[in-house]
Amino acid sequence: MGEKVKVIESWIGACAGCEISVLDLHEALLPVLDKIEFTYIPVLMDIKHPPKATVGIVSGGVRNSDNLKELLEIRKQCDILIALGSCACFGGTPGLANLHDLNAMLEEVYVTTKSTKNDINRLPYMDGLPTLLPDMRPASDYVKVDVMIPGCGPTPAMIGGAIMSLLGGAPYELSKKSVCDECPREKSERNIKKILRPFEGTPDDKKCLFEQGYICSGSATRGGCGAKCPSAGAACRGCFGPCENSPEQGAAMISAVTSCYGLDDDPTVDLDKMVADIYDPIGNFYKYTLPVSFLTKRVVEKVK
Amino acid sequence: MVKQIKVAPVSRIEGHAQITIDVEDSGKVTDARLNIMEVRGFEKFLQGRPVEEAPRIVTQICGICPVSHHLAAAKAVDENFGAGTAPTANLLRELMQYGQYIHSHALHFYFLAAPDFVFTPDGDPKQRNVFGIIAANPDLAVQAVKFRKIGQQIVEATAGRSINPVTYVPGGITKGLTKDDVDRLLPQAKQAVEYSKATLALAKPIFNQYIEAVKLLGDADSMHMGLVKNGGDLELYDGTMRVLGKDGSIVKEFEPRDYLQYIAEYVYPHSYMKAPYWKELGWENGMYRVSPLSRINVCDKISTPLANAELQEFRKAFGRPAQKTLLYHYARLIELLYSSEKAVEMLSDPAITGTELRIPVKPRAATGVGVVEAPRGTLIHDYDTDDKGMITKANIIVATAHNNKAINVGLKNTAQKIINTPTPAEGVLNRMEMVIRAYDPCFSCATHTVAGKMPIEVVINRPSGKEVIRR
Repeated sequence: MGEKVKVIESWIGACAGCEISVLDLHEALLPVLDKIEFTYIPVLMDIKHPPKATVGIVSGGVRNSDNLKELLEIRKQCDILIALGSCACFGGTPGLANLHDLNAMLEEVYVTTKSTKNDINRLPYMDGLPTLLPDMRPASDYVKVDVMIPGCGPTPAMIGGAIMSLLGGAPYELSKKSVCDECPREKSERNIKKILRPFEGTPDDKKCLFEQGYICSGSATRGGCGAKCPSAGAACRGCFGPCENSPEQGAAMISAVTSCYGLDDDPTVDLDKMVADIYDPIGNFYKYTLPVSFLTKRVVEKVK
Repeated sequence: MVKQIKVAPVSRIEGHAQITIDVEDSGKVTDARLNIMEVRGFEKFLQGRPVEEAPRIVTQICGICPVSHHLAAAKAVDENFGAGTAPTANLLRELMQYGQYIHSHALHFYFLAAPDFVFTPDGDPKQRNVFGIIAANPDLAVQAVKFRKIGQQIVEATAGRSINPVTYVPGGITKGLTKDDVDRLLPQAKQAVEYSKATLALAKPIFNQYIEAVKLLGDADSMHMGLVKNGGDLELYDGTMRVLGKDGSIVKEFEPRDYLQYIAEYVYPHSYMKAPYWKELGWENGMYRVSPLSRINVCDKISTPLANAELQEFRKAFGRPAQKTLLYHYARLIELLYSSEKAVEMLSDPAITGTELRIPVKPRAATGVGVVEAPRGTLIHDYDTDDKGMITKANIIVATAHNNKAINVGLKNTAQKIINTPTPAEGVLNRMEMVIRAYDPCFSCATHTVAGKMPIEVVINRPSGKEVIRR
C-alpha cells in the first residue's frame, strides 16, 4: 500500500453539520481512512497548526478575522482546496445576517434580547477576540477554491464520492440536474392560483408541492440530495444552491413563481396582489445564497 | 510580570474557543478565562421571517444537535399558533429526540472524550484521537460507528434527514412512520440498549481509574437545572424546569414559559458567549449548570429500569448533587442507556404509527416559548409574532451558555491547582482543555448570536499582556 494522502480539515464560521455529514458515511468511512490520513482536524484532533497536505477541506463561511486567517492558512498549506457545505460555497443561512448592519446585530444580541441584562451596553472586546467583518462571505470570495461540495449538509455519499474520485485522480462533478428532476412527486400543470404557507390547506402527498401553491425551490436548486425534503413532505429551501449555469438562485425562483402564477399568459393578473402574496422572498428564495446573490452587489463605475 | 498562556484552538469540541491563562513569572496563576470567538446573529435575522420557518432556520445553529433546535423551536412556534400539537406528531418529535441523543452522546464519548482516557491526558497528540482508537482497537471503533448510526437512522426516519430536520409544520409533522419503518428501527433500538450497556461496562472501570483526575479537574460547585416530568422523573423533551441547590434541596420548579422571571444573561467582556445566571441570587452568586450531570442531579428517578439502576449506583457513589465536572461523562452514558430504552419503548407502542399528524392552525400575534433538553443541557427558544405570524423578536439561550460561568470558574480553579510555571507542559494544558471537554460544550450553538469561530485555543499572557504561548 502506498503512502496515505494527507488531508487537513478546518471549520470556520460553521455549525459542525458538515463534519457530521462526513461521519455519517458510517462504516464506509473506515476504508476511506485506509487511503487518507487526517493530519489536522480540530474537531477530532489536538494538533494545533495545519501542516502541509495534499487536500484541504474547509467548512463554514468567513464571518470574522479569525475565520479569514484560518482559511488563508489552510489554502497556503494544501494543493487542492475543497469548500464543504453551503456556508463555504455560498455563505449559507448565517449569510442572512448580511441584511443587517453589524452594529444593529451586535446590539440585538448583547443589549436588547429579552433575557440580556447589560445596563452599560458593553460589547465583548478582550483577549484578542476576532474582529467581525461587515458581512458573512463564502470561502471563494477570498481564496481559490478547487472543488465545491454544496448542501446543508452535503450528503455523505457526495463527500465519499468526491474523496474517492480525487484519490483516483478523476475530476469530481456535481449533479447537473435540479431537485425537481430527482423528486418523486407527480407534476402536471404549473398554474398557481394562490401561494400557500406550509400550514395552509391540506397538501396532497403524491403531487408536486409547488403546483399545490407551496413555495418549493426544487426547480431552482441543484440536485444531488435525492430530493429528501419534498419526499418527507417538506418543501425544498434550496440548500444545494443554484443549478448548473444559473448564477442567481433567487432570480430563478422569482422567475418560476411569477411565470407559474400566470404572469406570462394572463394579462389580467393582479401584480400588487401577487407581490403581496409572495411572503418573505429573501428568506424563501435566498436562504442559503444571499452572500453570492446579485442583491447585495453595487454598480462600480469605471475609473478613467 | 504576568504572561498570558493561550490554548488555541481548543480541540475535540464542537466549535471555536480559546483558553487564556494569566500567569506571573513565579508561576502563580492570577486568572483563567474561556474566550468564545464567534457570533452569527440568528436573533437578528430571524426577525421578519415567517415563524413557521424558524424550526428550519435554527437547525443551522448547530449540526450536532439540530434536532434539539428544531424541537425547541417547534414547541415555541406551536405556542405562537396556539392550537396545540397533533398527538402522533408529538410522539414522533419525542422519538426524534431520542435518536439524536443516541447519535450525539455516542459521538461525544467515543469520538471526542474517550481518547483522553484510552491514551491518557499526556498521550501523544498525534495518537490521542479517534483515529488512534481506530488503529488501536478497530472492533471498538466499529461498534462506536454502528452505535451512532442507529441514532441517525431514527432521526432520518422522523426528521426527513439525519442532519437539519425538515418535518415540522405548525401543530404537526409532515410525515408519519409506517409499520415497515418500525420493523426496521425497533431491532436497531434494541441493539442500542445492548451497546449502551456495553459502553457503561467498558467505561466505569476507566472512570474509576481516573477518579483522582475526576476529583481535581474543573471543580465548580453550583446549582443545577433541568427538566423533570411526572413529579421528578428524568425528562429530555417536555415537563417542568427544576433547579436544585448545592445542598440538594429543590430551589424552584417553574413552567418553561416563565423563564424570564428566573434567568438573566450577563455579557462577559472576553467572550462572544453570554452567561446566564439565576436572577434571584444575582450575577455574583447565581451560578448554575445544565447538562447530563445536572439532569441526573435534578431528577428523583428514571422511568426506564436499566437506566434507573445505573442512576441509583451513581448516586450511591457520588451523592446528590454530584458536583465533579468529569462526572458529566458518566452521567452522559446513563442518559445514553435511557434514550435507547425510551426508543425501544416508543417504537413498541402501536401509537407511533398513528395518523394524527396535523391540526388546523391560524397565525396570530403571540409569544411562544419552547424548552427541551438538548444533549448538552436546557435549550430555550422564544419568539414574538405579529398577527401575520411573522417574527418580531427572537431569543435563544443554548445549553452551553448556561455553563459559561461554571466553565470560567472551573478553568481558573484548575489552572491554580495544576499550573505552577509560566511554561506548562502540553499534557497540563490538555488537562485545561479536558475541563472544557467534560461539558461537551457546543460553541457552534453558543455562537448562534453573531458568526465568529471556535476551535479551543489556550493563550498564556504575561502581566504585560504580551502573549507567550499559543497552542
